Amino acid sequence: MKNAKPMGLISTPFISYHEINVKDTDLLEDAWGLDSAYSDVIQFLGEYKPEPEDLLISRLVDLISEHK
Amino acid sequence: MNKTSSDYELIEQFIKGEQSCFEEIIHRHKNKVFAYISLYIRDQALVEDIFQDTFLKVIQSVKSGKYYDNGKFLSWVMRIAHNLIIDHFRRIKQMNTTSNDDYESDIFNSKRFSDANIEDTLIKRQIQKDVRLLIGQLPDDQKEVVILRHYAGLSFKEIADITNVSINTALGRMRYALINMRKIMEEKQISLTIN
Repeated sequence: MKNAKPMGLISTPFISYHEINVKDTDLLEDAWGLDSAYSDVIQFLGEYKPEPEDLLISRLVDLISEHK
Repeated sequence: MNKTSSDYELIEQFIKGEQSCFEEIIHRHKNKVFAYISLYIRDQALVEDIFQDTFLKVIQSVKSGKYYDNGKFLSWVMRIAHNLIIDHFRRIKQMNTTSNDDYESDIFNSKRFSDANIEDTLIKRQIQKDVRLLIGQLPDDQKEVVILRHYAGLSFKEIADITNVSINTALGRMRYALINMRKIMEEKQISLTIN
């Protein structure tokens, strides 16, 4: 025990659960390591970003007004 | 209503007559719903029809008290969109006429691309076409998980609920999908840049 060091100096500082930013992270997916193991494929999937045109949204809003 | 209002709070306000609250809901989820539908259906006009029908059906259901808040509004909306897509394919099957692949026009024919630099547009179109090709080659169960996770933004818990499988099965399908897609990317020499 002569060379033993205090715990605080050799161990990772404790971070409370609430300090870990897990917003937008699926913890199960993270546990499986999918994001890190297949980041190239996931990045590629992210290139597909279709968006509805503004005209479509305004038509929809008009339709909703008629529905009232 | 401020921007941090939950979906359910917005719906409650909408039922009380505040129409702008539903507009907020649409703006919040439009891209995910649109991407989800457009990955199953190539024809732009049809995608738009189903997109509109999805939100109109949401309104009907909300007004008739069929939605109970469990914090999973988006996955409920996706389920509605999914059912409408299935209805569409059923109708096609019954009519026994055209298949989805027969449609030449697709989302990239949108006039949104016309103002952009032509080269950028072509690269973008090629990459997006490749992404569709990748996803399109997956078995249906894997394709569904990829779309629900990466385009609809659902958690694996929600995906498991929607697809009636365990969370581990959903995760397993995703892993196989990613392995398959990487293999296809290597075979077809697909990458994020166009040579």
